[in-house]
Amino acid sequence: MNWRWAILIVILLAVQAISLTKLRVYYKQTEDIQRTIPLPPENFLKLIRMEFSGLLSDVIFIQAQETLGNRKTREITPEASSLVMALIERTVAIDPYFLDPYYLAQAFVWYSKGPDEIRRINQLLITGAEYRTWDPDLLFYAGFNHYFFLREYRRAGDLFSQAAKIHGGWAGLAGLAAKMYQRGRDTLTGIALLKGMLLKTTDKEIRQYLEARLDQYQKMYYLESAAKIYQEKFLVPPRQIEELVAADIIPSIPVLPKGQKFYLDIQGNVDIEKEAAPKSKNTDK
Amino acid sequence: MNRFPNIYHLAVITFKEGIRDRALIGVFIISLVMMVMNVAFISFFMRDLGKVSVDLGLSTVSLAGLVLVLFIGLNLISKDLDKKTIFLILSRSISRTQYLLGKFAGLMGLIIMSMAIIGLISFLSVLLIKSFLAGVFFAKSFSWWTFFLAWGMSVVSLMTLTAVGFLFCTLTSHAFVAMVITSMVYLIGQTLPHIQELVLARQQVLKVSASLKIIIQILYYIMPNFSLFDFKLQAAHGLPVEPGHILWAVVYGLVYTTVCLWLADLVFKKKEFV
Amino acid sequence: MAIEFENLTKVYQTGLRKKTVTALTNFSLSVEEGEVFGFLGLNGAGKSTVIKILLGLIRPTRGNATIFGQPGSDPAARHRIGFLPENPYLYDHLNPNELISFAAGVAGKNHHQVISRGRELLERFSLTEVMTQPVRLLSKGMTQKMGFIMAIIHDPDVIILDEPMNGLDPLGRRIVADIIIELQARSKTVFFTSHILNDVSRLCRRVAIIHRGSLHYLGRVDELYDGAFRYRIRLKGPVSELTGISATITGNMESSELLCPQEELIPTIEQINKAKLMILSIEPEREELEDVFIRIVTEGQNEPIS
Repeated sequence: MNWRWAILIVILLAVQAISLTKLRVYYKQTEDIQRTIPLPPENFLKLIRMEFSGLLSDVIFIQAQETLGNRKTREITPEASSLVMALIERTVAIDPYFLDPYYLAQAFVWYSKGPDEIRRINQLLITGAEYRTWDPDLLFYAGFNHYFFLREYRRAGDLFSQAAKIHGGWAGLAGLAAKMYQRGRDTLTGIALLKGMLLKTTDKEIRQYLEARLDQYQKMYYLESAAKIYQEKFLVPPRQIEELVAADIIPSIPVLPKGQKFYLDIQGNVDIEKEAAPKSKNTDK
Repeated sequence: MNRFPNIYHLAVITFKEGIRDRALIGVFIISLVMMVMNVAFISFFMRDLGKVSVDLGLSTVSLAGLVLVLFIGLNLISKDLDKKTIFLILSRSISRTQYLLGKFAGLMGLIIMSMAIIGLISFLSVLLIKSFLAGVFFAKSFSWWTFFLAWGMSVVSLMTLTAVGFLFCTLTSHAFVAMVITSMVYLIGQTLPHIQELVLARQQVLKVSASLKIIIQILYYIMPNFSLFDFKLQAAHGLPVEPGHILWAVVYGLVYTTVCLWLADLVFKKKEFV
Repeated sequence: MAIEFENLTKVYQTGLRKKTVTALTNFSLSVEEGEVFGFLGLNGAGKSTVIKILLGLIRPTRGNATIFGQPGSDPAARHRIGFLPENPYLYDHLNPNELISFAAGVAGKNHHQVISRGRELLERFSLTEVMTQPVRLLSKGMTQKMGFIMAIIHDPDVIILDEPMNGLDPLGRRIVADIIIELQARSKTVFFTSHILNDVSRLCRRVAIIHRGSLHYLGRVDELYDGAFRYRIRLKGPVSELTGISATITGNMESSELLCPQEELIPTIEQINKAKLMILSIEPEREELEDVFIRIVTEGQNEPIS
């Protein structure tokens, strides 16, 4: 090769490299500008998706992940957080059956600030569950958020019981729902749920589990009713469970097969020593 | 007269002319690249990998089909008019109706053949992902039946689009104009159902006048509703598909195709080839 | 009658303003069975319009065109026709073999019979080597030959050729002419247009000349030459003018030349005598068909025969 050509190529490559670094600055600027541009509204996206809903939702979802992935610190700025939520909501608007955006939204709960944001995510999950009728996970997530973050036990119980009723759903959800109802002072609904579940269940192992839960909550209800009578009688709630026997309201305190004992917590709720009900970490399959 | 042999012979040369078009190879190569990319694409996602792979697979099929119809298929008829090849055909004992039907049959053969190839590539990419990479992340109710149903309905959709294209080819006798108008009709046909939904929604999202509402309503019935043929989401999520849905979509496609071809024939019979 | 045109008039409406253009006015012509008929005219004279009306590609505004008594717009009538369009455009990706079997197929001909005939024609035009190549790779001449083969492969009774010699080399022209003569021998009707008048005068017995949409001449080719003799007179020395002679005189210092029509020969010689000029030579010259043609279309502009 002629040396002149070699020089020419070297010069061209150098110019190319310089222009790339120069352009990078502008590219950064446009990126910043792009960030300030509002996202296209859901209806517009629905309009342009044509027959490519699936693909469009995938692409928007990648944007959401990118926004999370691109942040420089562990901290998520309020802008980024609302952008991610907006992107998730748009993904779901295009393809409401898509699991990943719900999954990401649930992961996002841990970063969320305040109950409003959690309610927004829960709304998303519950709407998603209306589409993903075969999938108990979304209801479980929503129930978990109501229980863990919002302390709305009855609502959580409703969601868990809905999840438990999904065919092929995990029976433990029914136990969880019953626990929520009990915590929400609506133990009867939990008992009704467990009875209903038992009617439809044939699997021996699951039946055993459900029967144990039913037995537990029936006993708890028994104690709760006794506590109520105690309060009516003495105008103050019982402080210790043994007071119910002492006051001659019940003959004895029922026991559970594994020997755990009932007690009354500070709020006067009936509870079991050594939590037997499953915690969230092993419900997430 | 020898009606069916004529249609058959025309279909054969149309098919051969189309299948040897280099652009077709381009479509195949791009589809192949998309399918290979499918393997990389799913790595951007966490859970619904089956859905994502089916999305990309079937969307490629649809997209390739659109390119095939709009850029190769319609060219096969409008080039006849443009370059006067049609003189060689219509000077023989071939009626204009036979010409249209022959061309349409040949084009459908080409579309079905190409879609079968692209569909096979798509099937293999999803199968690869399902068998070796992300089988557990496929919807429990995922079925290949729905996958191939979505493929088949894509073909029905392309058939309808081809018939629409034929109508505009005969109306304009210009390759590019016909292609542009047919693309517009496709876009409108895809978006109109959503616009109609917005306009007629009980909660007024858009404020529209009563007359515009009527116009949109009329257009909704005139324009081809291509969204009816889209079964890709059902395939991706393994959603149940009712037989009635399939049946009516096919009936709709066939009726629309017939009407378009019939109109094209009316126009074509009146046409003068100067 | 193999082909018959009766009072054809065609008015085109062009553009958005519907400007009307009259392409044909009261055109009548009949071609007998077994005749080789030449159809002449300048570009845009209306030749193609006549042929397209005959084939049913366009509709006449008035009048009708028939093939063996059937209108050309009827596919059944076209069954007996073979047509070669001007500058045929064949399908790019098909090869000669496929085109031949298509042409034969739609004519409803037995396949084997046609294949041997096709092979024979391909050989005759030396196209056997390219018979499996896509036609887009063929030269213009080869395409023209292919178009010709497609026009006659199904052994039609009426062959309509629009500029069959276009783009052909002398050998190709010769083969086409030979085939036309063979077709005539088998009492097929050939109706063709041409710019190459030599071919017309060689092949046709009768010709028609169309100009600006109307028929200007119809008759035997040799009759065209009646009165088409002239004399080339060479005179000694420079001559600029001759009194009473309309013919232009060309020449140099040594000799001059003038062309005079047959009937003016005697008066011209008398004038030359009067002017005391020396005649070097007088040669009879037959006017070319081109000249006749141009004479007819320019002189007869305002007097079309009908």
